[in-house]
Amino acid sequence: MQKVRRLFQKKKKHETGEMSLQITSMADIFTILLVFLLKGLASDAIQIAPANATTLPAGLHSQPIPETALQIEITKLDLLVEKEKIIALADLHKGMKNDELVPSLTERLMKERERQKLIAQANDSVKIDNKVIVLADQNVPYSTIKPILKTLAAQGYSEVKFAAIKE
Amino acid sequence: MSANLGSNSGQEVELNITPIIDCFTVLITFLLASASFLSIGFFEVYTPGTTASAETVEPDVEVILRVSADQMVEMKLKGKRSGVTHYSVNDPAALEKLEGEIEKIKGEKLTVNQILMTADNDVPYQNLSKVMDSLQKSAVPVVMGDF
Repeated sequence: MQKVRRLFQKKKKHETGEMSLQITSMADIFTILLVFLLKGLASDAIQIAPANATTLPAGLHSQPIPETALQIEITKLDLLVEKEKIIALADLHKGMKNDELVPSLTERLMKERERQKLIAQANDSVKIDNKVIVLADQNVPYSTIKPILKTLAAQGYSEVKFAAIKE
Repeated sequence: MSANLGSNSGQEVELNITPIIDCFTVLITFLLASASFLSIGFFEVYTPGTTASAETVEPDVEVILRVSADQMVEMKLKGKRSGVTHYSVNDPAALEKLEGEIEKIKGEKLTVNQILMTADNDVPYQNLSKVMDSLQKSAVPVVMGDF
């Protein structure tokens, strides 16, 4: 009896032009998409997003990104530490002495080191990190990279990880 | 989507999933906008005078690479193997040969503590990265800079 009634109702809906959208399958697709996107978001230990003007070089054998590290970016115009502008590349060689160290970068790295020391004092599980991630534009010359590397070495940052886009 | 609440009542209850779809749409839009689809890796390089580079044992072979402004990389070997070879930075096959040469030295049981890499001042970073990329497979620490 119920079947007959349902059929009659369906027929009636069809006749009146009323349509019901089947959104159950759409909900399924959305759920899968959501899980996929959330997983992708959660898998990145650190967010690495170069500035818009920075074009990273490509690498076939590049290794995965470390858990945490200080980020230094060399864009076409500026030198940034943790997204904060340190100096314009045009002025990089101006303040340099014979030792070829970048004074403003030295100052910023010393501050960072102090911060790391304070954290390490308060928390035994945290160690002072000597890693640094460098996001450099592919057209930046070696003459720009060299004093930055030298300054990093002088401040005890010995492991430099140059970022590249995995091919 | 419908649920039957008891056989006696015969009343059909429809679950309204429209608000759920709305939430999902907003969430997916937000996640798609914030997602980065580029996979970023890194080339590991050491600065001179670090623990990784300053090995106490004298190596059998010293490898020195110099990337020049004319798109070439010069490999200088010192020690038990010596010689100077040149490879084009823009030729992947040549860079494979460079990597093969280092593998060959390692295969002969000769120790290579580090690869010292330097470059001319006007060499773009892109060329350096090509050489670094080819050296990553050899698993020999790359020390960058002649300072």
